[in-house]
Amino acid sequence: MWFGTLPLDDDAVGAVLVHTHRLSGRVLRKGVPLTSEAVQALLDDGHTAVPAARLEVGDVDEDAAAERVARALTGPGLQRSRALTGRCNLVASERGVVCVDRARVDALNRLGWEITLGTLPPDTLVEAGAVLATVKIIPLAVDEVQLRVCEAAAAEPTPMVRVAPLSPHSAALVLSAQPGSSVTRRDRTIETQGARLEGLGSSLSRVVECAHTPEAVASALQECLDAGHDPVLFLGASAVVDDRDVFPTALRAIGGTVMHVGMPVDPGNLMVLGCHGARSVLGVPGCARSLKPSGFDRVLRRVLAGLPVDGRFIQGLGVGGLLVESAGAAPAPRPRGGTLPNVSSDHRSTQAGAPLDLAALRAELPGLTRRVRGKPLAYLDFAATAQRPRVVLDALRRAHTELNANVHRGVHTVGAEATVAFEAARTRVAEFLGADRSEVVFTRGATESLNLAAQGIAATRLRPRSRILLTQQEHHANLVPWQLVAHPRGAHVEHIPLLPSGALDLETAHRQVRAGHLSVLGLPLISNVLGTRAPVEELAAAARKVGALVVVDAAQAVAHGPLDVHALGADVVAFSGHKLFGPTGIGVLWARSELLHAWPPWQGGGAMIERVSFDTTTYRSPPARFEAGTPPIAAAVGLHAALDWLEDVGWPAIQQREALVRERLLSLLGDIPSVVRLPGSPVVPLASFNLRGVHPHDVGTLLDEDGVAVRTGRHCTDPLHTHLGLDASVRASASFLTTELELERLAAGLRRVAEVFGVR
Amino acid sequence: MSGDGPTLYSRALLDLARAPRHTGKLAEPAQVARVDNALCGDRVTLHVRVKDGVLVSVAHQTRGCALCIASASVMAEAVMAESVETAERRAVSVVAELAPLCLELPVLTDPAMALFDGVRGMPGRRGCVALPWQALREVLGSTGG
Repeated sequence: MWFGTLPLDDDAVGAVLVHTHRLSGRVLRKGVPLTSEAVQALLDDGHTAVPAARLEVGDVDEDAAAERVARALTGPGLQRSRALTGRCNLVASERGVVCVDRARVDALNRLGWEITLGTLPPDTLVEAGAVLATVKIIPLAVDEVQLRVCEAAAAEPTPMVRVAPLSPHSAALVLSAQPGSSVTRRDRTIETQGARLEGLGSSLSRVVECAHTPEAVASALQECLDAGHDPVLFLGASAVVDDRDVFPTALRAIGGTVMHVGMPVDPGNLMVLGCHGARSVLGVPGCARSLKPSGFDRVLRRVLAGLPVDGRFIQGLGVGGLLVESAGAAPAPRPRGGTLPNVSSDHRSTQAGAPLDLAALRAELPGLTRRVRGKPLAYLDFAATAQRPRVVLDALRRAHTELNANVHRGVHTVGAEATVAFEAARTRVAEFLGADRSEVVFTRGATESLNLAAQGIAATRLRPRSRILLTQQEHHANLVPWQLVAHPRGAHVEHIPLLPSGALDLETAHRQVRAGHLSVLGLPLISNVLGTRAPVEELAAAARKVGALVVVDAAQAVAHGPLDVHALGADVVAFSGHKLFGPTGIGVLWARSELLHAWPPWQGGGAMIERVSFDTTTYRSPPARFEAGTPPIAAAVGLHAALDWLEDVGWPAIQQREALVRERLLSLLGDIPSVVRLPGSPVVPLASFNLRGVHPHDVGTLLDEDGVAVRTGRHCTDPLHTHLGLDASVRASASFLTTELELERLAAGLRRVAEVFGVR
Repeated sequence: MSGDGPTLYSRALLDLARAPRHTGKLAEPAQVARVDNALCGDRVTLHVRVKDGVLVSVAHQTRGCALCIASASVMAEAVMAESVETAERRAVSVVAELAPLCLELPVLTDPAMALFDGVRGMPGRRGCVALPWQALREVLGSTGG
């Protein structure tokens, strides 16, 4: 390959640009061969020569080279993604444990600097669809001979990289106890081991409790082995600290082998590796009583995937064996256009720097595992509704079973427990909003919250000539309720216009705020179509100066982080539970206490009254005043679980992951010439666009054929679409759980639509 | 990545969407009806001219997705030179057959609908195909039969 500074003459045609050139009116991308028009465009832009490369006889271009190396590496259980910009990913076609032949990967990378192979750490758990290795060609082309050497190295009979599928096992757990052992701790331990095994596709089928003596433990282990279980786990009342301790002695006594005591991994040091015949018998380290990642997870994964584990393997785990959460936590900068790290190794952590264990997290959301039209569902409609984690479903079930009673009524035990659970949800929501619990009203959803706010404000504030100022991108839910109350009272609904950039026209907005008679400023914290964040703080401060109330529609914001309603400067905030992984049928209205106290009741019935007679009725204080009838009890309990779950996953890690997903989504869309994005810079992993010349419904249907779910239509924002001159648009909304493959499938699907419709 | 089954977007359907037939307006005397799909903004404006109880001219202006445009073309072709009674009966029947909210419609009986067999399994897209026929029903309803 020739590489150098290329004079822009007739001979320049066919050479490949080394850098992307942004000329006025057109972009010439690197790696694309120059046409005579492109040469002319560069000359017109004032260039006389450009850095370029020219492929020569025997050169293979970067995409073809990446594809060929990846093909040579692809064994059973792996698929390839489409090669793009010299990169081809290897993708797991089934769930399992990553196996890497380190020596051969090193050898391949040492063949030359041009061809590289990077993999996930060995023994990482990956979901079907996860990227586990990436071939990247560094230069724009490589030599055919070098490529063949590399292909030969990659294609040796045993795969260099593969996924070992997990096979279901029926495990048993022996728990030894000493007098005084805590029952709650025991229950939690059993629950935790069950959850760990289930997360790996196996089950905890038997639990045997015994005294902490060699004899009792031996007989309990024997019972489990006789019943056919594999693996058999042992968790002792006290940790194993010696080769001659209770558990090793017990295992030897029944004819088992102690292969290794201890492990150079922390947490997880005090593990014992043993076997009985072909079956594994493991002394579980105390740290594994919780689901916090430890060295035990890696060993258990290998056992359940049928991969060999022996003393030598354990002894080799020392390098990298210190699993301190903050160790190596500095976030790695990722070049735009690179792929997403799909799965990390072990950590699920609240540290911003530690990546999420995506495979394990995704396994917690059953809705993500279904298939559509014969393909795994790629769910890219989180902004419409998020999927629900199992803890939310469990909470709903618990609310409908154990806690099934009405709230705030009667004195019986179940009713009291239900009331406590319902009110605990209110406290949890208040904490999430940085607010007082007496200011949190449960509703059916954000829409009902905004209707309630509109009616309360209308009754206390709106007069003829009052002005309600909204935004061009307003969702119908924060627009129509205002029209309903404004029109009969002679009040006006106006909107802040958008700049061509998609941002709010703040100059006009400030003028509108100061124009007199402003009663309400209503705005979405994050636009459901543009994904942009409104400068709520700035506008709220201006609105407050003129005595207007600030109503924030936070429906699209809550899934991306806790709010601080006071820092926002809001008077009213509304959101729905189902957008932040909670159930449908529950929403939240937060309003400042003095507003809630001033508003009249809006629906009458039980629970909102103090005393009722046919002449006069008195009402309870907020929030009860606005919760007539039986409230969404189970949904509140589910919402509580969702908030706990998100916090447990860790907001900093969620936000960090979301930023990567957003960049990748925008970058993939940017690479498709026929994609025309709506204006605005999304702050969340969401993008609305059109495919030039194709109706969004046709795009949506063809993507659905590929198993990719996106939203199409006007997304409840008629005024925005009218303003942009669009009948409709396509919206892809991802989450922190979205994988690289899902985004690539979206991009591939869009390219297919363009091909079907003959657009470019 | 394409679907395993036959795709709804056949060559014939795409060709019709790209180069629709019987488009435009009719000069007076003609009846006009306009129908909108409020969900997606699709719109069909249908002009018909009736002479001696027969549809002698049909013209549509359709803004919408490929399904809607192709369906309007097929509909116009199908009812041209039909009696008003037959055309209205077909419109009522096509709209009724596409109406049920079920995952898989058993069958679409009108021979003109063969091109749209794929929407039987797509509840979300039947409205697009039905819209031109709704316009026909409406325009003929307004002629008083």
